[in-house]
Amino acid sequence: MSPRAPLAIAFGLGTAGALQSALLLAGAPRPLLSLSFLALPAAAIAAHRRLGPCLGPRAPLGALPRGDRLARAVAIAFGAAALLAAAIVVKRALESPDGGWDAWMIWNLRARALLRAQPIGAAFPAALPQTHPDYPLLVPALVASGWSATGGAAFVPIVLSAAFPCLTVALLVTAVGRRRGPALGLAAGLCLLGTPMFVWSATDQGTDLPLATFALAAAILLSEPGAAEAGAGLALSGALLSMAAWTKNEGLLYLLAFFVPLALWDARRPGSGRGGAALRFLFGAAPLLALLAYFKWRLAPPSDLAQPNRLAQLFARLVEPRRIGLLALLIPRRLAYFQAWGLWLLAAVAAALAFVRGRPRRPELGRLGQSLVLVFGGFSLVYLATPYDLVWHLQTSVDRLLLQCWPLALLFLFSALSPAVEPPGGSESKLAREALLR
Amino acid sequence: MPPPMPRSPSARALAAASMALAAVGFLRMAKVDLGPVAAGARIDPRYAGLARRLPANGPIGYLTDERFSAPIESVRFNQALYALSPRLLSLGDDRAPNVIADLVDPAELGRLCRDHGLEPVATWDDGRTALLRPRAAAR
Repeated sequence: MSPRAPLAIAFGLGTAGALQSALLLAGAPRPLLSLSFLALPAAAIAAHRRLGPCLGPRAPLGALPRGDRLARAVAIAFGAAALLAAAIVVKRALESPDGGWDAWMIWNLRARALLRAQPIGAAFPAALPQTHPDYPLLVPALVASGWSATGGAAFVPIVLSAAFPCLTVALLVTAVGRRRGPALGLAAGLCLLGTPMFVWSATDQGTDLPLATFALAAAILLSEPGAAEAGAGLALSGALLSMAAWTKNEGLLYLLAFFVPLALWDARRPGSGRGGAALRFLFGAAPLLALLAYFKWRLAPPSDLAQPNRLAQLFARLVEPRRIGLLALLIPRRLAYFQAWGLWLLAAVAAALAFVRGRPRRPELGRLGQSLVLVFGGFSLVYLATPYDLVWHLQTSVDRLLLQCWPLALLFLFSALSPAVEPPGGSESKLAREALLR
Repeated sequence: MPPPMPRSPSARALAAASMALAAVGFLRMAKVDLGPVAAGARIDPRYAGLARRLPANGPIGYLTDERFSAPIESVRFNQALYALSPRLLSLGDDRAPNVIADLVDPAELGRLCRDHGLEPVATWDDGRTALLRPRAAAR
C-alpha cells in the first residue's frame, strides 16, 4: 500500500490545470487546449518516478491473525461505505446536474467566461463582485478545457467534482496504510466516507475538495520520515501547495502554514544543508505563484475581503472584544453541527486532546500539527477581519473551510494516535530512526 | 484477504471508533438521501431562447420580481449570469437596448412592462423569461 500513484495523479491533474490556465489567459487556440490534457499523464509519470525515495518505510503486510474480526469488519465496512457513498454521489449528481450554488455562481461561470470572453479581461468583471472574479483559476481552467475538448459536455464538471474526493480517499487510505498498516488506512478512509459533508460536497462542483486534495498530498510528503532531506519531495510539496493556492484564495494560507514550520525547522537544524529545505520547497512553488501574482496584479479586481483604504477599520475589527467572543462561541457550536458532520468533529477534538495529553510526540508529525494550528489561526483572523456580518459569513463558509482541513486532520490523528508498524526485521529503518531523533 | 490489524489497543480502539462514527454519518446521509431520484432541471434550457436573441456584447438590463436585498441573494439573477455568460447583466437597468425579464410569477410581466415603459419582444417558459425593449424600439 503506497500513496505514490494517487500523489502522482494529483500532481498530474494540478499540472494540467495550471498549464490550461496559462493557455486560456494567453488566448491559445482550442486544439492546443485539448492537447494540454496530455500534461496530466506526462506530469504524473514524471512525478511517480521521482516519488519513490520521498516516501518513508512501508509497513509490512504480514499475515492476518486468525480470528481478527475487527480487521475484517473494517475492510467490509470500507467497501460498503464506498458503495453507499458512490450511490449518494450519483443520486445527487442527477438531482443537481449544475452543482451547488457556488458552482454556477462562481466556478463554472468563470469556466464559461474563460472560454467565451473577448478580450480575456472581460472574464473577470469587477461589476459583479458576488461572482468573485478575483478567485484563482485551476478548477475553472480544467472545466473549460474539458468543455472545449468535448463540445460543452455536461458531465465534465460532474466527473471532475467526483474525481478529487476519490483521490483524497485514495491518498489518505494509502498514506495511513503505509505508515500504520492497511487496516488503519481503510479505517481512515472510512472516516472520510462516513462524513456527510465530504460525500455531499463530491457533487457540488466546488473547489474545496480539490484544495483539500492538493493540501493532503503535500502534507503526506512533508510528514513522511526524512521528508525534509528529500529534495524532490520538498519541491513536489511546494508545487502541490502552489496548486492549492491556484485553486482557492485560502490555498495561499495553506502554503504559508506549511512553509513557516518547515522554514523555522530548516533555519534551526545543524549542519551545512541549513536553508536548503525551504529553498527546495519554494523552488517547487515558484512557477504557479508567479502565475498567481500575474493574475492578481494584471487581471483580477480586488477581493471583496480586501479593503486597503480602510486599514483602521480592519484593525478595529480584529481587536473588537464582541467579535472575538462571538467567534469563540460560534466555532465550538459548529463543531457539534450534527447535520453535515455527524459526530466526527467532536470526536476529532476529543482525539486531538488525547494526543496532546498522553501520547509521545513524534517529531515527523510535529510540523503537520503546527501547520494545522496555523491554518485555524489564519481562518480565525479572516473571520475577525471580515467586512461582512460575522455570523452570516461564518455560517455560510465555515463548513467548507473545515472540510478543507478534515483530511489533513485525519492524516494527523491516525498517524499520531496509532503506533507505527515496524518494518520487517523488527527495527526501524535508518531513515525513520534519523527522523525520530530529530 | 482482509488487511492485517495492528494488535495495539489504541489502533483497535481507533478502528472501532471509526466504524461506529461512520455508521452515525451514514444514518444521517440515509435520512437525507433515501428516496427516489428526482432528476433536477438544468439551468441552461430556461435561458436558451434568450441566449439566441441577445447580442454577444453590449449592455443588457435585467428585471425580476424575485425579492432580495443584495445581488448575491438572487438565485435567478445569478443563474441568468451563468446561462448567458459572458454577457454582463445590469440589475435594475431598464434603459439598456435589450432588457431581460426573469419572473417568478409570469402574471407580473404586464405590470413590469408598464412600470418601466417596455414592451415584450419575445417570451419563453410560459412568460417567465422575456426579452423586452423600450416601447418605441419594439415596434
